[in-house]
Amino acid sequence: MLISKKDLLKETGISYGQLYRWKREGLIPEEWFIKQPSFTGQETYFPRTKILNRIKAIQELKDKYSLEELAKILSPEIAERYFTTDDLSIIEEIDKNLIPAFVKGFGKNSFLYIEVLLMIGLSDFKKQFGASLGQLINIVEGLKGYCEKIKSTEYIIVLFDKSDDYYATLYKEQAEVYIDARLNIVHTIHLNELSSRFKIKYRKSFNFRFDDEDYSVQDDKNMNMSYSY
Amino acid sequence: MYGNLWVLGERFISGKYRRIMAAGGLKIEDSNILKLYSAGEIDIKNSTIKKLRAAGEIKGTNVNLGNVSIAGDIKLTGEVKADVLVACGDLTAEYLSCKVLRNFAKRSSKNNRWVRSGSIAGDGNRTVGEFSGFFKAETFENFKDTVIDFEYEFVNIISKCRLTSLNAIKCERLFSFSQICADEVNADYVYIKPHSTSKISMLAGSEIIISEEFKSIKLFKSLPKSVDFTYYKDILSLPSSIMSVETIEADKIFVEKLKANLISGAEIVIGDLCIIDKVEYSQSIKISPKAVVNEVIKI
Repeated sequence: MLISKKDLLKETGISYGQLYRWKREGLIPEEWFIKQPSFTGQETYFPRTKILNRIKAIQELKDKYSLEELAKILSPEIAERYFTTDDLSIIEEIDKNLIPAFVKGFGKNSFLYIEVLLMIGLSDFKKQFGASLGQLINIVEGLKGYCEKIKSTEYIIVLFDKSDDYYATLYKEQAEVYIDARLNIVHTIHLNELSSRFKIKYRKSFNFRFDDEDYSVQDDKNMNMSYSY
Repeated sequence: MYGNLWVLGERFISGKYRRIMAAGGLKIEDSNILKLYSAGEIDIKNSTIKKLRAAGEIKGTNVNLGNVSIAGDIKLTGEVKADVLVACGDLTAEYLSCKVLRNFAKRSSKNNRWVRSGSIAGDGNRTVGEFSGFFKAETFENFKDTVIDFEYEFVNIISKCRLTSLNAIKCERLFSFSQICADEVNADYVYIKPHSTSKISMLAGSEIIISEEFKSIKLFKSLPKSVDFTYYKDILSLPSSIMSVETIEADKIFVEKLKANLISGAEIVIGDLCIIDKVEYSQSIKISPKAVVNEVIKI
């Protein structure tokens, strides 16, 4: 569902100056400015939920971080580092009991950022649906080959069940995907949303490219993770 | 620190010097030089030079520069910092960070045609002053016709000659005194002197002024620059003409001599000689009797 630029400004109370400043700073991705023909020429629309959530997040965080820092927090690029099993144990959203299963599923002890996001998503999936360790290992084994190819977090993982097992499909956010209607979709993981929340919460722990920071954030770990970017 | 040095012919230099006058090829490594005047090629590595005036090709790797003016091609590798860099020749940089970056020598507007052609007599096909690589500067001063097809992060852009970009021009403050052509201009503050050959599809920001008259002198004077305001007076005195912009969206808008499809903003002033299809405003609007506006909507 789309929202027009005028309605966006009215609904959020932001000015043109703010909107375009945030666009310049990379806080609002270029691809969210969708131009559509209108009888006055062209009108710009945005993906409604995404832009409203993003503006809410910017408004709530802009007093705490500079726009440059916010761009890094909210940007969908992949963090350039590997995570060890010790790192995984710091991440509250990863079920500690599942770490051996993830190690087995991925067949290694250090993980890419995208793989960490998958672990967070699968931990939540297990919590909600009570999937077995074997089923989680199978999902990881099925997806691990693609994790290395992914160069951004703008991907969605859809999980569906069939014959007492779970299967996954992985696709880019903007892509149109048509899944066999007979398959029962049980869970959807938005890597971009997980990434935004993860970066904010663990930015101190994992030093997400905040090169020149001289500010202190005391309550990172306690930050309320209610945002949905 | 060593004293002054006169160099003729090829020479390798290392150490601290107050002033070097050179004619011939120089190789400089691990040096700290206050002033260097040179005619000939220079290869500089891991050095600091406070003031450099050179004619000839310059190669630099991991160099700290102060006030630099070079007539000749420049190739910079590694991280290079400069206070003011004036390049009168091709400039290639892996990562150049400056306070002020200028792409040509000062010339009076009377002789501007020579600069705009961007060619050297006797070698008509070759344009000089091409930039490639990554450039970061507080202020970029455009003193020759330029097509932006390099990576940049400029806070301020001051353009005295034609500025063209196939993509968006993004900066905090843009002052365009000559032609400007871009798909999009996104800047907090924009001043454009209207010119019939200028064309912009989307012009957006906080405050946008398209006017023959230049009133933002105080703001302009506060910007870091290599030349002062008086140098721009001659180009500001040249006549202007009606320019085209498809859409303008900003909080404060003042336009004259403009043809546009849509102007949308909070406080809008439509001055003389404007032909605007549709104006949307949220706070205030003034329309000159010498302007034609097809539709006005309060939003």
